[in-house]
Amino acid sequence: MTTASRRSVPAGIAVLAAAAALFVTLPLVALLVRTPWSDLAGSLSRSGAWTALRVSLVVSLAAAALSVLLGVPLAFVLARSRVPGRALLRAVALLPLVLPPVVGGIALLAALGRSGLIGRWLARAGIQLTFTTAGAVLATAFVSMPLVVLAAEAGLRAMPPGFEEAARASGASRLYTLRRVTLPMLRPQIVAGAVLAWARALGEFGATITFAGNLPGRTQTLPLSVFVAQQTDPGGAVATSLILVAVSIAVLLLMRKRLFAA
Amino acid sequence: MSLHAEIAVERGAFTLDVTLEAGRGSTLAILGPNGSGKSTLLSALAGLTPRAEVSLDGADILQGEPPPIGVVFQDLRLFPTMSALENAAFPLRARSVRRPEAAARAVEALTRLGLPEGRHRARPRDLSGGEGQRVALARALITEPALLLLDEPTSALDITARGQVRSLLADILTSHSGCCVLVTHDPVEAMTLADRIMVLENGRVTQVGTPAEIRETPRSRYAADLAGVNLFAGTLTPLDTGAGRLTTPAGELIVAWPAGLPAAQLADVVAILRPADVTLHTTEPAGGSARNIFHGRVSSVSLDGERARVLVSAQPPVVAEVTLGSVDRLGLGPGLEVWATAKAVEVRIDRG
Repeated sequence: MTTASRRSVPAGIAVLAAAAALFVTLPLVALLVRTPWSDLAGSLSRSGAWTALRVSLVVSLAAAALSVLLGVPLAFVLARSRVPGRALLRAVALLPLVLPPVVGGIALLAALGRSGLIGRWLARAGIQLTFTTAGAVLATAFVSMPLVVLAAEAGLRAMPPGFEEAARASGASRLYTLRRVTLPMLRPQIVAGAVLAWARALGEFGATITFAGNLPGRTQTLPLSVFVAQQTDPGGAVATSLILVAVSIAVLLLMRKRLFAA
Repeated sequence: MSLHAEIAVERGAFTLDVTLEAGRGSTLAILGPNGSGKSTLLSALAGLTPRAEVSLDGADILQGEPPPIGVVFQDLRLFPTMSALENAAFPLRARSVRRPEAAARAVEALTRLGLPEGRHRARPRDLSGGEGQRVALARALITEPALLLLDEPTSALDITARGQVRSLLADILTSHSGCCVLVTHDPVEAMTLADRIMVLENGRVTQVGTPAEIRETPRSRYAADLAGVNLFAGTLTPLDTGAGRLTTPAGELIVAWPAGLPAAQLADVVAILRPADVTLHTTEPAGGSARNIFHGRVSSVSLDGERARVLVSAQPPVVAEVTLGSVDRLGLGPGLEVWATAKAVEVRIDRG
């Protein structure tokens, strides 16, 4: 009987919860209602959605991979080292989470643009990042890497130190311990961080359009394509959005155990 | 191989300053209460704490990379992402032994330690306490280390597995050619497995001796309370309601049956009886509730402050702790005929 009373929710909270559920569901339902179902394939190809999907997959997967490649080592430094200014380093590393992505794009332009701090040297060497797929990957990774850093650092902090000690006491070198003990134990967190980073990368808009532009087939990702279609072909925009909704729901369903583990 | 280690560690107000020696093939137990510095000492011996000098036959082994050491941690620390087999093979793989050879030697080690082949692919979380202990032992022993370190190897096990692992350990330690250092707060572990015991209190060694020496003449209150206990090992059989008979090579005892243990014969059981729980009588006691009556003569009386420890040569021999007043009142002295009594509930089955 105590269970029943504990499980019941006050009426006021139930009303607000219903409002919250409606607030999230209603726009999605509206999107489904407005979708041109009879000519779905036609509107998708007219708005260039398939090309944009291909660019989006390439850019988001490459950005997620780059985020893991750079984010996990950064998480090690933040979790394990005693370098001075570690708190500041963490704040800077996580800044892209709160920074408006457009600002991130502008900052990247200032650094890697053709007349940027480093970009002018790159340009002299014949390397151009702006308006290239590689640039879109960089802009996207800038925004999504903090998610990997957060997940991996939390995983490293939660890992009991005993296993690495056991490996060292078993005669393993630091590198062998890292490869065979630490990284395999950190795998769930790295996977969760990578999936979150990938999902974030798939929806990236501001940094990409600012730094890499909006070139169909090269830097125009699905969100950019939706935004462009919205000006000329609202039906195509709705249809393209549907792809993003489908992918997002699939990610949430696949990751629900990892993301919502008690 | 003989072990010589000098360990000095300072941690704030705590200092650990220990010199220890262990002969070839022998087992040294470090017995101490929580906070005595046992874990720090073990870490230092394992090379996990800097500023330790550990030498085997005169050569500093912590300089060798990797050191010839095997460790069984109290919480086992089996790698959760690996199978039992991969855990056992880990030290070989870390020493660049090729995978097929490492696997073959791991299979052999696990099988020798009594883990059936069907369990070799299991992950640590699917292993029972006793199985996990066997895998941890296999991992520690697979390189045939010159120095084997054991941290409370049986304390996390239930009573059935504890007896099995204890006799397994006794076998291993007999055949192990290197030195073994056993760190524990459990006097039973120390008394049953070690050749010599070093009592560690607050970072200092208070006594070193054989189990018999420590049991009969403990030199500190801690040693007297924990190490100076009567220890009986044998086979436990159900007797009547709530009681069992422990048959040891030196005689029999009636013990309270451990709660939750099924009424069936159980081998390799260790029971302890605190000397303070033993009552001495100069005439044959009758009509009391004590079911253990040990009849014999006083073989020695040693004084320790306000108390005296009286060794009675009975079947089995027992040590009783009495006040100095009782020594005078009863006229206790070597050769006196006495009856030592203890209630069945005071004979405790291995901390269970």
